[in-house]
Formats: sequence, structure tokens, C-alpha cells
Amino acid sequence: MTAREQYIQQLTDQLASLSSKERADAVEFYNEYIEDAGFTTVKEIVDQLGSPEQLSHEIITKTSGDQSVPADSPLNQENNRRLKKVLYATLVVVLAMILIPLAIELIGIAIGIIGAVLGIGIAAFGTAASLFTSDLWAAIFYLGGGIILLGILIIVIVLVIWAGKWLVGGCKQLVHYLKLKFKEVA
Amino acid sequence: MKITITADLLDGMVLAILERQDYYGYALTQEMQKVISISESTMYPVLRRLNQGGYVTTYQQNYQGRNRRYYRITRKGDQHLNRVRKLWNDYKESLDKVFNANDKGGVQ
Repeated sequence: MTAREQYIQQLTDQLASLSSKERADAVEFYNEYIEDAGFTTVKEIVDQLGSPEQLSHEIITKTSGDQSVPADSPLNQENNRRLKKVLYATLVVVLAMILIPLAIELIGIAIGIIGAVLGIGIAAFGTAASLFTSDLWAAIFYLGGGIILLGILIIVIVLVIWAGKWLVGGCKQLVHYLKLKFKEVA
Repeated sequence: MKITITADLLDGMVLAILERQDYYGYALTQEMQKVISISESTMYPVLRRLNQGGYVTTYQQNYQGRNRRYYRITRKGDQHLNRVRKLWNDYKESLDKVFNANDKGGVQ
């Protein structure tokens, strides 16, 4: 057995995990290669190509199971990128469709709460004023109530501003994150 | 230290060599190694990928009583090569701007 035949025999054994076609193609390539290179000893072959184990490992890792379009083909990479682009764009649109009406509703609720408290507060002060001349203690009661409601109003306004800032910050982060993801695949 | 060459560029280089003429495996490897130092075990996966993608085809020719498999670029491969050429030129210009920015009278 020549050095080439010996090496090729071992290489064939090492490629057992491939399909018979894949194995035959790879073996044919290196059989011709060794012949054309004029290697006469196993040492020469191993120096250039690596051991049968090393070479077969190289071949196997670069040989995917998919026959039609290999995982790392330029065509497949491009298709994956396009798909990801569409996915992220769709995600952005869906989020916008959910979040924008939601934001409008939240603003509405906030205005409602503030309005209600303000309204009750004004009513309290108004009642106090009207009772000032007739029933002093009742007037003071309503005045106190009004001041309490004013306090509640201030707290509510502060809370709404804080919640608003938090939401806007969260949205900014989300937009930033989506932008990055989009750029990654652009 | 070596700069790693990407698979896309390797594909492009092989296609560029095949654009000149058809080659068989060993000769093609020799041509590549004139330009960059790659290991001999790199070529087969590249050629297999190009073949599967339809960028090259192969045929056999008789040589001294045995068969030799030759690789030939396809039209699709030619189109891909031109794409890679353009990408490479853009890439090269961008990197040149960064690396050679000091050529025009910078402080040395």
C-alpha cells in the first residue's frame, strides 16, 4: 500500500459520520490532491494536510447536513438577514399600535384624576366660602377639607409626573434596543 | 500575528482565480497560496460551499490515465464575484481612511 493509499484509507474511516456522497467527494478531492502534489511519504502528507483525524475534523465541521443550501453560504446569510429585518420592523409596528393608544388612555386617566380632585377641592372651597357668613364651623370644616384635597392634588400631580418620566425612559430604552437590533442585521 | 480572512473573501478570491481559467484542486490551492498563506485543509470546504451555492461547477478530465476534477466559475459565480469586489473596495477604502489618516501632514 502506498503512503497515499494508507492516508486516504484512514481519512475515509474518520469521515464515517458523513453521508456516502459527502465522504466520496472529500476523499476524491484529497486523493487527487496528494497525487498531484507528488507526496511520497505519510510524513509529507501529514506535514501539509494534517493527520487524517485533523483533516477529517476540518472537513466535518465545515460540512453541514443540509445539501441544498449550506448554513454558511453567502445566499443563506443574506436571506437570514432579510428575515430578521422584516421581523424587527413588524415588531416595531405592532408595539407602536399597542403603546400609542395605551399612552393616550393613560394621559386621559391622569387628567381625569387630577380634574376630579381639583373639582372636589374647588367645591369644598366654594362651599366653605358660602357658609362663612352663616355657619362658621361648617365653613372651617369645608376649608380644611379643601386644603387636604389640595395636598392630595399636589401629591397626585407629582406622582403622575414621576410615572410619566419613568414610562418615557422605558420607551426610549426600548426604541434604542430595537434600533440596535435592526442595525445589527441591516 | 495574522489577520483572519473571512469566508466571504476566501470565496471571492477563489472565484477571481477561476475567472481567469479553470483549475483543478491542487493547482488552485497553489494559486491561492501565492497570494495568502492558507492551510491546505481550507480549500476543500470553500470549494464545496461554492459548488453547493451554484457559483462553480466541476468536470473531470483525463490526465495520465487518471481523472482530474476541474472547477469552473458559473454565471452566478461571476455575479457574486462582482458583488464581493464592490464590497471589498468599499471596505478597503474605509479602512484606509482610518489607518492612513496620518499620511497627510500629521504629527509624527
